[in-house]
Amino acid sequence: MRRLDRAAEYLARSAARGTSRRGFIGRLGAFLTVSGAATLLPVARARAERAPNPVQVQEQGDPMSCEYWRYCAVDGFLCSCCGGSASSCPPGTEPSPITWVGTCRNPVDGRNYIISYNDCCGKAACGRCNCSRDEGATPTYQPTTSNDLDWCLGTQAGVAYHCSTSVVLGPAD
Amino acid sequence: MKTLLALSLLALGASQAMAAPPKPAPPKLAPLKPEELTTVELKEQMPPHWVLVNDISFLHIADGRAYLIDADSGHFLGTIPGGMSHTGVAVSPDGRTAMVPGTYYSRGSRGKRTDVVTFYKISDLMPGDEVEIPAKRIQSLPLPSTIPLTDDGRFLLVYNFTPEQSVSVVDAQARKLVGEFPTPGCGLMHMTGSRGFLMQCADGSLQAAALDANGAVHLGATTKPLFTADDPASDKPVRIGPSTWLFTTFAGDVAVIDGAGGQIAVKARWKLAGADESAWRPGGLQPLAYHAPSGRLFVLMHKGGAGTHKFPGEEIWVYDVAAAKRTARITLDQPASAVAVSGDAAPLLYTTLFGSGTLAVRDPGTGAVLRKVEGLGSDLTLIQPAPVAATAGAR
Repeated sequence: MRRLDRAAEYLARSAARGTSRRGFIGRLGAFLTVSGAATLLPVARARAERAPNPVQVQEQGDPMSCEYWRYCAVDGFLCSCCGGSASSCPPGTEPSPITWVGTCRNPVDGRNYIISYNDCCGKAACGRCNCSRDEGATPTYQPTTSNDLDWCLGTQAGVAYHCSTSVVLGPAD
Repeated sequence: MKTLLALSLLALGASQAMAAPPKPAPPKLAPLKPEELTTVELKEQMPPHWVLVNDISFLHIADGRAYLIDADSGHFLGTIPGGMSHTGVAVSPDGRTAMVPGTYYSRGSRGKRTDVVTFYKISDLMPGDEVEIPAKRIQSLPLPSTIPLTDDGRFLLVYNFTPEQSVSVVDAQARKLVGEFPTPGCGLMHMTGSRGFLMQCADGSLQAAALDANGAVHLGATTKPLFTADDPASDKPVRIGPSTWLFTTFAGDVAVIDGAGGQIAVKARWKLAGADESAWRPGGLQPLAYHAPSGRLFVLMHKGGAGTHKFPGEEIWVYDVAAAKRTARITLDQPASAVAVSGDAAPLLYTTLFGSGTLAVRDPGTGAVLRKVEGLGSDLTLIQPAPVAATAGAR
């Protein structure tokens, strides 16, 4: 079953429109609209230990398992197994500021959510918990919904891909 | 007491020595000569059955490479280094030169990024000339149409994704960068003639483009969307003629598309699977291979539904492309994520499975394994047979 719902389709279509024949730079905006929420979180000022973000209380399942609901379109190593979590990058890695999105159904409340699959970057692959589900993933020439791309674009750390997060952006319907 | 014990042991040892059979006298041969350490040099030109097998080295991705194999003997001939997110090698039409578009960091997986095209002679596999290109080369699962060479070997094209899309052009003859050219909304370069190519766009349309005499890219006409959002064309089509490509969709629909002269036209549409075979789909990293002399298409097929476009093939389905008809089904002893076929008149069929480290060399008629080359690195991706022109020249 295709998980692309109206919202994701809208994102894909708007990105497709944005990536048509208009300005070369202007299209960047379409990609920036799918930036992960993690990058918008306030930076902790105090130097203190910071645990990985836990999954939310309304969720069920094991975030270290490929079967976890948020991972419906992921392809890569789960950051949950690499020192991070579904919405935290492991220490010393940098979240990708731009990425692609999928839509997954949360079995607990039956709602579809837009999931942002930000990569964590700057170190070579973690290598643990490889998970490839690809539901609704598209070819590389449709980049906003493609998981074959290294999304460590725009980071200071460089394109070395370490692991994949699955950040809830919000309900899709 | 100690002396007595020592004497006894000595006597015991002597008796055992006497019981042992006498050693044969060593043959009277000339002593081994001191050796000179040498480095192997290969043929100058790839013969028809040499094949490059690429390894993206996923867990240590800064260290991609290609292995050069003699498929007739199964001998491992040598290695071509590839760098970060290694895609593959562009081999000149005469089979003498390998060009490797690569991404490198000054501190291994971090530091300053440099993208270069490195030229290797097949005869020595030594890094030679190097052309620095914009540090924007796409980092993705490997796709051959991200690094095509023009048919005459003059220009090498490199697809960039930052996520702005563009093409870098290298003059492979002058060994210098021509420039970077924006290709908004469209990616991949499928060559359709000596200087023409077509690109796939996000809305399912195709974009015509061409290089001018200096290698600058000029965009041409764009088609209407030729594929639907529900069943997109794979980004892994196969070239079946000078200007013609065969595309498959995720669900297994075929579209034969010609781009001669910058005029893009759909020549045929058909389906890989029959009505009673709808569970079967194409899949893998390199799912299609075409043998031009016989007009045969080889497709990796598996049973699966939506979202299984990366599943390895359980079978190879063989088609007569001109007749749009399947001619054989080959059941594989091991699943395959890549298939390729040599371009000569007596071809070999190649398969590999990502993570297996094994290249299988097969009879293309039956699929029977002729030999296996094992222990090939970690994450084998694209299989690249010797170029057709080299094949013709070497026989």
